[in-house]
Amino acid sequence: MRTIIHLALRSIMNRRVTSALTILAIALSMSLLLIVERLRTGAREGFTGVISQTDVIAGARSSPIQLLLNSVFQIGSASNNVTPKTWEHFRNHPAVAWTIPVSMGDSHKGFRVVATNEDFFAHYHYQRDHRLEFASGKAFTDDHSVVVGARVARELGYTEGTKIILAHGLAAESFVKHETHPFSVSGILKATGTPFDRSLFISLPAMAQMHEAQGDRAGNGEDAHHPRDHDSHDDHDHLPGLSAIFIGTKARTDALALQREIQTYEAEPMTAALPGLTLAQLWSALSYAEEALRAVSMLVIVVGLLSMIVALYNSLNERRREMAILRALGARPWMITAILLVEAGLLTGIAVATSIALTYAALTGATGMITANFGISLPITSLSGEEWLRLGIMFLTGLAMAALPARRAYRNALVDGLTIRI
Amino acid sequence: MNKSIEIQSLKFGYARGEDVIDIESLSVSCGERIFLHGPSGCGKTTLLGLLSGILASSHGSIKILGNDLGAMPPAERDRFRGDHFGYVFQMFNLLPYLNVMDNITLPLRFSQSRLSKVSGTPESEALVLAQALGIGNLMKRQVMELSVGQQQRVAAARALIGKPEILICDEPTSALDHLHRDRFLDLLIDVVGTSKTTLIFVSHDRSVANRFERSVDLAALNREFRASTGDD
Repeated sequence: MRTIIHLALRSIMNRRVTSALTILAIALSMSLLLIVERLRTGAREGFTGVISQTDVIAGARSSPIQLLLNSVFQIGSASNNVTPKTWEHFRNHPAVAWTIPVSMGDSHKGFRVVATNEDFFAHYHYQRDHRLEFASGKAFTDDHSVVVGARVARELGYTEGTKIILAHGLAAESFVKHETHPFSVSGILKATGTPFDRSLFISLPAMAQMHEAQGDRAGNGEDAHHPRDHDSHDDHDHLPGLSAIFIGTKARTDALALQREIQTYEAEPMTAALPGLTLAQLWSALSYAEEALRAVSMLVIVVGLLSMIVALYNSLNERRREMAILRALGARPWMITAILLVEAGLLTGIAVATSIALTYAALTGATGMITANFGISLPITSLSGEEWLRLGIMFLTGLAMAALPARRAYRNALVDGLTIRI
Repeated sequence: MNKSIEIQSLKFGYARGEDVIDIESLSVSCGERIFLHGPSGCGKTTLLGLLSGILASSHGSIKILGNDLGAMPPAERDRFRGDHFGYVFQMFNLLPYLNVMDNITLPLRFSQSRLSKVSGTPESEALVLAQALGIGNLMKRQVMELSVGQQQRVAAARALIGKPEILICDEPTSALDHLHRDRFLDLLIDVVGTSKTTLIFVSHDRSVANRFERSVDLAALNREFRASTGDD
């Protein structure tokens, strides 16, 4: 056996350029799969971690998915608003620890404006335990200050103190601008990888005042999807209608009961979504993209392994004389097969090691860029059991594929005997 | 004197009923140097395959050093060949990925009995043989850098390491010019004479026959070949 390994090693070393290229081809394909899998996991975690620690999201009657899309992903808009009265009711509910009210409907150069209170900065969490942090400045202190998300600041070049005007409605080029109510940037958030990077935050009274100043004339006709409950203004000290309320319960086990209570709330028709569950549902609806990614990386691996088989096959002919020599020295035909298999094993084995190195190099080099641009976080962790399993399967596949040329070599060895064929 | 090779009414064919070898008897003493010749197609390669145990005869018996090859299973014949035979091919004798030293010591990796016959280390033994064959200064070279004549001498050193009883040379000089052929033969016969190795030297080049103790014309010996050519 030592002889076989010795010969296989020397044979690989002798063809070191071909061997290195083969190893590189396999290693690249393997690390592609590893990275794709990590991206996939990262994307899923980023997606499902877009809101955490919030146990229930309440909003006007629609569907949980719609409510989530609207309030967290800022896709589409709320069909209706919840009155501040209702918010007050649930804020004081015995099972509720905290709430975050959000009111949306205005925009600024294509970015959405989220009217909320300081509880957003205190209680909104993403990726399990991450909170919003300020890159500079601080939360809004009065009704004329605005906090901008990282992406907004970067794309529009805003810094602390920049004066801006918000627009009514969600269209990028809204004709109705809240010019009588200018804002000044009080703080800029750090990037989170969530849709809130693309948001501007103002206080709830600011939202209310802005629309009062405008007389909210615009809201009557051209902007039907942006209804506001003005009846409530008088009772509730300049609070606008709420698009959604993020709720944290005192005990997570209360969430289901609270959800049911909200759904059956009599004062107004409401929907309550459990974010974790709804996010998982949404992600599974998107999983075909995941499968496509995976299929592509599998194909790449097959190509990589095929290149090894081709290399082994190519070496077979020139090795027929080598086999005759070894046979003359007393080598059994299976030993010749074994040399080829050990060679394939060494090639794929080195490729596995190389792919791990390549993967970590790529992760180290690209994590910052990927997090900044795609909001996918790729923590540099050690290989998981699943990843080892995957590498193991690829290694065995390589060996199994090498069995083809090895079998051919065995037959050559039997037929050729001590005849040197060129 | 003990018999190195004993063949009795040997028949062999690659396909049933189509024998290519039919030898009544052939006997070679230990240490004897035989020149085996004959035209193409007279069964030289087949006979060497039978002697070395790559092929198994269908009739008759081959005894090597008193052991009946026909009674051995293939695995044992392979090991027997590794233990008792040295083999030099016409060309391409060497593994391209091993250097000269590693090529020469290679048989010792396959045969325990040959390893046990080495007095010093494999490397020192290889050097002694290489020096006797005039290639002592090439030990660390890559084989692809050698001339054909040098390669054949490396092959001879490899075939002789660990003192196998029988050395088979299958047209080892046909790729060499006359000068190198004669020099190779001188060295080979000298080394073989010292180690008392039985030498089966196969060639169609009759001009070197006088260097050997006995010539065997396989065309005459092989009744199957005589029959197929109309017995001239």
